[in-house]
Amino acid sequence: MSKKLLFIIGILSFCITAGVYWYYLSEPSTLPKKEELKNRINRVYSDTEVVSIQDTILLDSRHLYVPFISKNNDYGSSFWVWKKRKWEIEALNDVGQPILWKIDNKDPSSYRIVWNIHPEDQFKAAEFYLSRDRGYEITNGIEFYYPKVQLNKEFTLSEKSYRIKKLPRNWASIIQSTNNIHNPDRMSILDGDNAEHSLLIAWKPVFDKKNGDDIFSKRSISGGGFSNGGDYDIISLVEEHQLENQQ
Amino acid sequence: MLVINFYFVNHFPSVLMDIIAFIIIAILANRIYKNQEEKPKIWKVLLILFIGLFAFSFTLPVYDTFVKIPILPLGVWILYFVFRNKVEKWMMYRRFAWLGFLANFIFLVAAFASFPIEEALYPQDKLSTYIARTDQANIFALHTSAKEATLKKGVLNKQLSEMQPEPIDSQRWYNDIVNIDVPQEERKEKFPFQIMGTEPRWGSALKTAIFVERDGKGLLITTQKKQYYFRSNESLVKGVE
Repeated sequence: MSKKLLFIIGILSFCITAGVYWYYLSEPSTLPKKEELKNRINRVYSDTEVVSIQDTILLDSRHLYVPFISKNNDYGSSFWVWKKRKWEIEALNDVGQPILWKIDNKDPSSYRIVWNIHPEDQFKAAEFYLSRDRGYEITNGIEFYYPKVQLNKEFTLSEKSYRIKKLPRNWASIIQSTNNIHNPDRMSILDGDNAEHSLLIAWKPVFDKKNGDDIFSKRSISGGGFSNGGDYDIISLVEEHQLENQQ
Repeated sequence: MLVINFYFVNHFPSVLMDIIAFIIIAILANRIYKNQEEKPKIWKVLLILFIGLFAFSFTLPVYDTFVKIPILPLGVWILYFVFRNKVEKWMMYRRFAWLGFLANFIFLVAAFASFPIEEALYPQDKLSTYIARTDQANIFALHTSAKEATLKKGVLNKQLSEMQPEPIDSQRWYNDIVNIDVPQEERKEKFPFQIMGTEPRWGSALKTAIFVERDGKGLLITTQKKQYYFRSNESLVKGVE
């Protein structure tokens, strides 16, 4: 009798494990149809109406980027994640300003810069900056000096309005090492604002000099959106006062 | 409330002293067990010891860290309350409960005893504490004003035992760069590089960010608790003059 019981328990636990695995960990075999994506965005987000899905780009087996065009001719971004055997829309921005998608927020090498710049904005490249303000602290005789971080990386725009870029390898290392030495205990003792010492990513458009800046319509940078879960940072325009001499 | 301390498991002095503390507690428990007429089940002894550990304590800053000093034997009280109507059982478990409370002090002594080991193994004024392995080492610019640079690994390895600590003058370093009376081309970031991929000494549980001075001769080591500044007499970086 007990052998039979053991056998049943064995079968049951195998089924449960397999079921849990299938439900939570299995990978998608197909991408949703564009028509379906369009309908689903329009169902969950009423501020805009998607008229066309431009593309579906898999970042890895579970993360999907879907750029779209809406009724009032805005170029937007939507972010999809495979969860519990379904493609869920995790975040959306109704204009295509650059967004930092932290796919695994503990691992900066998984971070992606994603944008969908409106074709009216005809600048030739987007320049991204990694920066941190210089700072110093003296607490109970313990001195700290934080060097200024200021790096830039230019990505030329292609004929497609949307693009996905990895962070440069050294940026990912710098972010990782900053996270490693971050000590919330020590920071809380100080009255200084610890955001001051944190790294920031910002960007600015790069124009062909002869045409001036009249082609920056800015329609790519002010929009609405939502996110439920995930880790997304909107990458804002760089403020010139944050930049130092670069020779 | 609990005195049980969560330490970095890769911190060798803490692990070593805690193992010794466990051995002492085991010896004491064994002695109580042998001298007792009534022998409780072993797993019950372990449970009583664990509950006995619960204590009200206050936290005291010592050196760079915090220690918890136990004052009130909360776990013993709980057990006393549980066994209030079972005197024989309480007589059987009483000593183990108090040993649990005593264990707090044994761990406390162990924590203090780990400080001199820490000092001996990981001297704060030696660069080799923070950089022990360099085979994966690499240098990156942190600032657009820094030139392309490569790390002279041979020089770095040689300098690990030779570089001397110097005081950090953070306020002056900062002010020298932001001072608008000085022409802008002379006000450049003092530490425009970072060395990545080095390992601190085994068992130190240190995490480091290593900034490199513009002339290639200074290292500013940042750990989670402190910063240390070391100078060498030759440049560690190829590409700076």
